[in-house]
Amino acid sequence: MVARPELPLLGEVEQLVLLAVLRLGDDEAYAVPIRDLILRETAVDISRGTIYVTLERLERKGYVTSWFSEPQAVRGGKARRHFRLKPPGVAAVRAAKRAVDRLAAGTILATEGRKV
Amino acid sequence: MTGGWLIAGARLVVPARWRDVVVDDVIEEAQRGGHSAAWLTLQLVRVGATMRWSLTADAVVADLLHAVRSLMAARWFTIGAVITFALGIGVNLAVFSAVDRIVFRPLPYADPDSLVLLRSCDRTTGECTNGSFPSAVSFQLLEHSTTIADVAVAGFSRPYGMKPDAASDERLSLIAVSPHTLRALGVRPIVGRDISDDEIASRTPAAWIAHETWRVRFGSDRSIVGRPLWTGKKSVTVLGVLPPGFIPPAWSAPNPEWSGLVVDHDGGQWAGVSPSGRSMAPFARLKPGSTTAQAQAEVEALAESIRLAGSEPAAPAEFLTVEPIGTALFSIVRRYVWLVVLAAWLVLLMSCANLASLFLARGRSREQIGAISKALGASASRLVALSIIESLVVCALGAALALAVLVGTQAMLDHFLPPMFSRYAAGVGDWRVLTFALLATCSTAIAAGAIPGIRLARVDVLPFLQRGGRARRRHMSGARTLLVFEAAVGAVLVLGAVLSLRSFGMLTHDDLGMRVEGLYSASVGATVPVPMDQQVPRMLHLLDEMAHVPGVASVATADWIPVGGERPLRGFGGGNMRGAFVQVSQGYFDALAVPIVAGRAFGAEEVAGLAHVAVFNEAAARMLWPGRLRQRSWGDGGSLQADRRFSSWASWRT
Repeated sequence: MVARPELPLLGEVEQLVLLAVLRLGDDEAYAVPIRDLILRETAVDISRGTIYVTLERLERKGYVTSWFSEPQAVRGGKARRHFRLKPPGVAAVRAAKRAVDRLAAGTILATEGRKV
Repeated sequence: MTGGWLIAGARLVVPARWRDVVVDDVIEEAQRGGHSAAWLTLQLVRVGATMRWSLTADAVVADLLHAVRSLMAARWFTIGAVITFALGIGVNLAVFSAVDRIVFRPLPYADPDSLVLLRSCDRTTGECTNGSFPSAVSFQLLEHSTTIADVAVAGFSRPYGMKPDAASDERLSLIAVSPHTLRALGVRPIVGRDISDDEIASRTPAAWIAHETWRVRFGSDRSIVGRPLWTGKKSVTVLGVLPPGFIPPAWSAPNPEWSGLVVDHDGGQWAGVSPSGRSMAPFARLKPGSTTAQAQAEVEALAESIRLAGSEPAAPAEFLTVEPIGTALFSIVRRYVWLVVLAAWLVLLMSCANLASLFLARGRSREQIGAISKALGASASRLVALSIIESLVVCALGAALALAVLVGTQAMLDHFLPPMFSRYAAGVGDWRVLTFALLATCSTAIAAGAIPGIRLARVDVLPFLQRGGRARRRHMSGARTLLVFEAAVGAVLVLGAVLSLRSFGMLTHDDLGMRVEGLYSASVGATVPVPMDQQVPRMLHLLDEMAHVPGVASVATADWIPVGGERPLRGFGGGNMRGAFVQVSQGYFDALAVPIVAGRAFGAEEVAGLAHVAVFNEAAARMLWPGRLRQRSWGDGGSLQADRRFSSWASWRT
């Protein structure tokens, strides 16, 4: 019998964006640093438009929530739209990671993981 | 940064709810990286376009899923709407596939506008025939013409087998054509080649296989080229494969079962083309810069010179015409075809109106949902789009149903179609037919879905909230107009259908006006010249002999070969009253089983007494004695024959 997935599967870009939001934390998780972090850590250059669209989709799915920060303390400083993972978002990332780990168990990838 | 107006314009590309955030982020990046205003503008446009495209796609997918769920919930409505549209689009697809080549599409030859058909016409009646063209004119044109580049002619089909004298072999029905056929049509074989000048000069027979035959029967095997095809002990070599969609130029003797073309020769002359006799109507390619009028003048001059030279006894009653091939073939039917197309469009219009009515009625019961959606922030455009998408789903299902039915009934439709249409009909799988289906589906969906969507978007939210969500009974503006329009279109369609039933019935078969079962014809020649005064007695004697042959029921003769004619009829009358007559023997109407609708046929005493008597056809009687067909006494030597094309010159019934 085929096991049902714990949560709907995430897309690759969705996984990367969720992980970046999780890693950056509340103060830094807005579109520009999210894109920069993904580029720096994975060398994947996601277009700016795709980042915004993915964030909107994740928000619509209830995985992230957003709020506007106070205007920056510079002249003409604007408010930024920050993102934070909601519990379903955390569960979705965890489920995706668990699925990858299970599939990788007993393969060369699992060994590489232990060495790291 | 300069270029403020450019940046202001680029801002608008970004969706409104993300605009400020995106602009601020991109400005921050531009300042950090020291980029110019142009870079900033470009980035804003790129981000905006990506977001708009992706978010619109998301919305469409969501609306599509919503529409499918909503239609599945209203199952009976969906079934009714799908069948309504399937009827409208089905009729249109059937008509379009049948008439596309006649009305809309050029013939599948290179530069079809410079292709002309040469025909022989009767000077008295003005009727032109696709048969009986003086071959001498064709040969002269082929050898030296200032206006015509190539002349060719197609004749009857012949059976060819893969082996010599193999009776059990499945035969290919190849249409006999003259050597310059492909050259005149401007058609190149997709495999193999055309016949060469050397092969024409050395009278080498050649054949080309139809693409469909090559695909189905020979499995698209390229090695078919060079193989022999056999008729008895004589062979022809396959030179190539014709392109898909090729229409054989057998205007005069169409053969729906054709498998290819053959250039063959009998007794030193090309099959179907005798330099001294008559052939089917030839077709020709005009030289660059030549016009149809110039070709007409040249053909007329040539025919006259041949007649004066005595090599072709062209009767003065005959004249030759040169017409663009599309005009010559389809001008008679084109205006009637347009009527059919118009009727089909009316059916589609009616089904569109019906669909709009159904959606309007459904929209009334969903006004509450519309009001709630608006209260929750759905825009008017989103509600209209949702309605159009629902309509699109219904129309797509209807079109799929119609296509499936048409594919399943293709063979039956071809059987019922008049030969003129079935000969040129495109299949339902043709890309033009499918494109037409797609365009008709989309336009109908927009037309039928927009009106209910606009009504839904205009629902007032406040009254709904005040009434606790109960719908207010409202008069549906425009509904009465829609009903009146539908009734009017329906009445026009029914009236048109009734009026065209008889015409369609006559079109569905080639009614020769005689019963052809068991009917045979024979040409009789004499080995030595027969004196003029002996010709009639000899013919009567021959008829008498034939009448006594066991199995022969009746026998007769006439001076005109049925359906096509060997020579023009003799005319009579003048002014607006013009006609032609045929001399026939006693028993003519019996032999052909032509019904006499009033009066009687010729009697033996009239033949014996050489009485001057006549039988008119209905058309002539209506013209000569309008309104008195039934009142007139036909006992004075005249009688009335059913209005049909008929005749034979020596016919007998078994």
